[in-house]
Amino acid sequence: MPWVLTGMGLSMLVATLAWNRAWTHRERAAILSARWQAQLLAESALACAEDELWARRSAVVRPDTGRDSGKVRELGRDAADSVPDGGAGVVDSCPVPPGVHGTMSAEIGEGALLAPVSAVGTVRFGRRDEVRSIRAVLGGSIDRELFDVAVSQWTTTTPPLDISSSYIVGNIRVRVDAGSPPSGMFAQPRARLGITAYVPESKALDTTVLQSRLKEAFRRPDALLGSAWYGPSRALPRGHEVVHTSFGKGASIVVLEASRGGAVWSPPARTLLVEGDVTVRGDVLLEGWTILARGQVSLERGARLRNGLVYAERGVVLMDDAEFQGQILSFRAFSVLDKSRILGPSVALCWGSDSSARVLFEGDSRSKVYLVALGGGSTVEVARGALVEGVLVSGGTLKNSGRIHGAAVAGRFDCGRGATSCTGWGEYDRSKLPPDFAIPLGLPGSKGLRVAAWEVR
Amino acid sequence: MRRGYTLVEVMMAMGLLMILTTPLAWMTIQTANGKARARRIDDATCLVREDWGLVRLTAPKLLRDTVYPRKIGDHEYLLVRRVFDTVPDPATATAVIGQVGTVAAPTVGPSVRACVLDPADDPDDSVRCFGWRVPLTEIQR
Repeated sequence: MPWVLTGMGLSMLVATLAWNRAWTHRERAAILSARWQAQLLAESALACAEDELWARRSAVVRPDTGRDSGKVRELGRDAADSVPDGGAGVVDSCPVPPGVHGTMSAEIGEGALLAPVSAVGTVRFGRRDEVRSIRAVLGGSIDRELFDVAVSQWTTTTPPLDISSSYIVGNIRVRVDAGSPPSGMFAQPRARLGITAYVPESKALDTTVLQSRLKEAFRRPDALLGSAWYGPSRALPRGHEVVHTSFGKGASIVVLEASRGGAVWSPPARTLLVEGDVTVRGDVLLEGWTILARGQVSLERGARLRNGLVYAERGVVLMDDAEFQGQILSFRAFSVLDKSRILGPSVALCWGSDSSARVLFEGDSRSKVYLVALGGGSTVEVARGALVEGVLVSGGTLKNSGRIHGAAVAGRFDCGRGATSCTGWGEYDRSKLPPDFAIPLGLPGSKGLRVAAWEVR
Repeated sequence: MRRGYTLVEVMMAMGLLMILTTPLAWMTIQTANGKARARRIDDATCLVREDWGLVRLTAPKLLRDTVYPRKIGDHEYLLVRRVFDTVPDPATATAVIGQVGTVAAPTVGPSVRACVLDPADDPDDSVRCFGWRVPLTEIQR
């Protein structure tokens, strides 16, 4: 009898365990499927953001007139006025797919060169919500023929481009008005669009919007007067936007600083508008910040700005071992010095008065970037030791003594040998261009979008 | 020395066995049921993930309603995909999305609803259904 009872008890125990396990498995399967539906809703919200973004771009980008002077045609005021926020905002044009019980939302971040999008999908499961969020950065689609070059020169030169002192892996294209290109080189395929095929047309739109935004901000009653220092011991003012103005008396300087070796100071995302210079220094991590300044913006000594937008009317400098990822619009100059890093996906645009922007990559800097220096008088220099992975476009001159892993496009190449047009002593290697490098939105002839970065949480 | 079981003891054991067999059998059936359902949900999610991948590779204008059989292990399923298209209505000059209603912007891409059916279990009821939207804009992969 005791054996019979023991056997019975054991059978019950085994059956209970199996039963429990089976239903736990079912619960887990159901949760996973709800989570997948939540992710599909987040994907759907992202799809809506992509459509809305493309629709806005198509509405403001006009066909190019087709000159190859390296200058960008300014978009009209009416175009800028039609999208005063530059494309940023909440996407609310999409209904949830039929038959799905859940919610979805998407928000497009600031900037016209790349579009950071955050999308969220939520599905109710039992008494709790399954939430999935996607953070993506959208760029333009790649015209593979256009970017299938290591070296691309757009000014006709006599004598022809000298490549003897450089190490070049990839195609070399030169502009040829008559006859055929020199041996080992190809003729430019798009003589009509010229170098502007590499320049995003949204540049003028973006700066117009940002300039007017600065102007309006400095007139606001809540604008703070004068300079300021913020850090772990001095908190930033409340509110999403922090405005510092000088009311025309000198310039305000705003410093965000945390000492090195201590805890990293990471204040929540803000928009900082300053009528002067901005310096970010030390163990500071700014995620999703927008910095608009009338003066210079500099990142120094380990400062990190990720998913950021920087607009500076007197240049941008990254020095020491600073790190940046996002979009840069810099007037006059842009320098990446020492051991600074630009992480991908990043796009930088630099222009100057009289078409003379100056861009410098120096020291042991490492940059994954699509950079455009506008204007026939602009200069891009990659010094010995510096490495750029991506695309460098100079409307004027490009001088390379370092390494360019990707495509170098310029009006002319220079190595300092007088009037000779030569590619210098640097390395050009198209084969080492990362496959996921980001192309800015709004390149002429762009046929769609490309996901430059994608993260599911 | 151990004595043998009496008839009464054996009868009692048999009675207990019969009493316990009912819940035991019920639990065994439920266990098998639960496992099968869990496996079906897993399979359905897996099949829709695969279909989502296929839809991503297809141009939005080429998406069509589709039914196709799929096999996972020995088990056969039917995947039913319906596409709710956003079509411009020339009469009203607005965009109409099938079975959902009108939308303000005619730039919204189509919606897809994919359901997985298990013909061996219940051919009229789906194991799981999922829905998502497809961007109309060309997304370079």
